[in-house]
Amino acid sequence: MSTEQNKAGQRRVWEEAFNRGNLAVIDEYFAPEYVFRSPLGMEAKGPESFKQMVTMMRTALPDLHVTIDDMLADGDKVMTRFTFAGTFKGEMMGIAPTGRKINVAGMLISRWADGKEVQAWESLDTLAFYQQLGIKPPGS
Amino acid sequence: MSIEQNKALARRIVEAFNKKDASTLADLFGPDFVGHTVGKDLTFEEFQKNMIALVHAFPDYAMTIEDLIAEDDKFVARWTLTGTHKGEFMGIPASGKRIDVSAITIRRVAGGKCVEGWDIRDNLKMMQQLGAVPSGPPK
Repeated sequence: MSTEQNKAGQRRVWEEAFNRGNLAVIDEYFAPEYVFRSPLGMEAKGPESFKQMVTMMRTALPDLHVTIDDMLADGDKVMTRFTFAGTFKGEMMGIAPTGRKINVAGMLISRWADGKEVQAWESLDTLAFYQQLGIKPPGS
Repeated sequence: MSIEQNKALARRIVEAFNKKDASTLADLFGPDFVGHTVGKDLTFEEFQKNMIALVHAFPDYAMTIEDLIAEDDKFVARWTLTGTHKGEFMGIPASGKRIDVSAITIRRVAGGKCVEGWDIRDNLKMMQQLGAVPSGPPK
């Protein structure tokens, strides 16, 4: 698969899964062996656990919107620089919502094989994430 | 500049940083460099001050590139920073604790020098490793 096809897949994951809640896109683009360890401490192994992660975020932040600020690809990798925004209106990890708005910068590098995302690494401004939510950060 | 030249520039920056070679570092950044860090845009002078503060706080620091990708006029480095907290850092007195944090950096290159950058580091993990943020499950 070309770098442009990998970018197109990554773009669809952000726009469909995160911004529209269309989790079917995860079945379309995620390999069974997919692994991701979020800097927020969550771990996804396989498409189903990634769906749970997205659902958790969209429950906590029902107006969740990921803006793609930059994207580049090289070989089997795609990098997205993004802004993660939303309002904390639903329970998250047992924490009651505060109604606060968040706007946090992040970068994700994903690895692709045969048109499927197999692994990802993320850097997120975790301190700002919890500060803006108005909650105490959990242990990592 | 080719993609391979931009990747070579990334490796030279990390090498100079690890050797505390400030003059080589200054030469690899353009005078109008703008660094977009969390919530703030920095000039090269301000960016340099942050690097000096890091060197002072963690004299044995080492930056390691874990992944390096490039396209067009940009490179992206995923890297880890390790070191021992031996000097004051962001108001936290020396604790002797070890840090091991990951980050991703993007640099835009023009004329063989970095002219714009974006950096995100796991600041929460770093603060927790320094014992500065309460850890454990939220109440």
